[in-house]
Amino acid sequence: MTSVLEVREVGFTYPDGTCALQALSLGFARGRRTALLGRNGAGKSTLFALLNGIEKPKNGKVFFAGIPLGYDRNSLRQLRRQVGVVFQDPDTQLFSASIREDVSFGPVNLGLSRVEVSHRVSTALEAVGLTALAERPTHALSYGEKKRACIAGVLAMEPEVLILDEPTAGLDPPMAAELLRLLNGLHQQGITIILATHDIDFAFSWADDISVLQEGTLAFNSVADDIEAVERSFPQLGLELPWVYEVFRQLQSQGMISGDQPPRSRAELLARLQA
Amino acid sequence: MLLDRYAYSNRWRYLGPVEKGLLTGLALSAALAARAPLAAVVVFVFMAGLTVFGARIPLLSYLRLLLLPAGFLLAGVAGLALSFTGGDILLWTLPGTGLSVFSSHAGLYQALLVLARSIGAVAALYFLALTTPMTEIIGLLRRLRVPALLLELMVLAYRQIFIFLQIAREMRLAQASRLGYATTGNSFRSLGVLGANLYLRVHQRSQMLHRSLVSRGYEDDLRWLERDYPRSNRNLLLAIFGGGSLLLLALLMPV
Repeated sequence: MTSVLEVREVGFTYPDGTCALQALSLGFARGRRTALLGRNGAGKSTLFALLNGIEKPKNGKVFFAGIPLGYDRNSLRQLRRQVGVVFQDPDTQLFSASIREDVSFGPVNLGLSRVEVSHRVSTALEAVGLTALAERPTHALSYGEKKRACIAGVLAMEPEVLILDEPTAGLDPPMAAELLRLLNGLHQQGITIILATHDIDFAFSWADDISVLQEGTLAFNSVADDIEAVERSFPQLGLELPWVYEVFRQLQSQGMISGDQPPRSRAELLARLQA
Repeated sequence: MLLDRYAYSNRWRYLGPVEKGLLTGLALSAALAARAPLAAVVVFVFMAGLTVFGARIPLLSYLRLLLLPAGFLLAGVAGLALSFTGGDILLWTLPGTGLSVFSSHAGLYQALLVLARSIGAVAALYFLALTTPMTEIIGLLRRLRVPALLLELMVLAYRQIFIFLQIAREMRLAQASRLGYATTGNSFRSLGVLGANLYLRVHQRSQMLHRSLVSRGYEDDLRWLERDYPRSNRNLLLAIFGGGSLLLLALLMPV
């Protein structure tokens, strides 16, 4: 399996001496959905900054499509065209008072033609369901709408890899579900998605691969439906098991469910029970 | 932000910014160039009338907005009209001292002219500010070849005002809920802490903003797609005619 993005043995220390990442090696496979779990300060945001070339690792290397990142202007431009990051707080991402203008920022920076930019902006706004609000001033939008505007701003650059830092934080359940649908749609278009979250149940219901960062190192890395590996590692890492896995085990031991593959979501579990 | 809300919701929101900007520019020149106070008052009445009856900004809100510059205006005008050193009208003497307040006909006329010009200019600028969102005013300035650096500052400052206000509101609420404003002493202390932390928070946010801009390909300048407006020759002519008439009036009306 080829990694579209990969870090090898990277270390990163902030100027104030905080060691954020140490000798971390991790690859993200093309076209997969990866959920990155980890407590606050585990190094998720730092990793994302490295993957987008915003920060440069102190040791080790970052690879895009097998090629080590260059940090000159052209290489970075190339990278950022292909790897988009949606940061956690939408208010630090939206710079313009108009949603349409903000979304057009990325594509304009790519040097696209006016027609192409305006086409991409419309498509991106459509994808996140903000077409009707495009003319509203940014400060008049709700938190969830701002979040979607941020995603549109990145989608308009048509990246191959989409990185989201805790996208569901601060969203109410219907908005989070809406976001999930959006991400799955993007995944079906072949976009690689990497997402940091604290929500273990959400991670397992959505992701193909699960990685856990702990104190700047990789503590767990596996496909999400390897239930044995999860059961072995998660308690040691102080993480709760996803509830579907626990319920599945219980049902399995009582012979009430067949098969070895764990269901990943409530819907899947219910479907299996009815079958 | 009253001003901002109307800019997005008035009846003339979707008229071209060029036409509105042109009218504003001409009216502003007329107000500032007016030789007779009456001419500047005409500019005020005309522009205020357009804003209230044309763009349908509620009269009460408009009057309230006019109060904002009133303080500065009165202070400035008082300085012109009054004098402690002498003039042809003696207004008042502080008993027991030689301190007197004078005014003069020339000074009063000067004050009247400044007052009239100022309210004319305020009405002209309010017309643009109340009918045209900031982002479009900036787009207009860009077309007028205002330096990009200045425009970027305007864009960022404008957006940050709202973030700044929001953080300040949240912090104040958090302080108030822990009795931060229960006594005068507490209030002073809380306000000080709020100010200091506000600065830190805003600084932190600006760094985050920079990061996110960089990740979207920001290099040296902020650029984005401007909105297209259907050009209306009729409105353009109306703006030139209206603004031009004001300017002529201002220049020709005898003192």
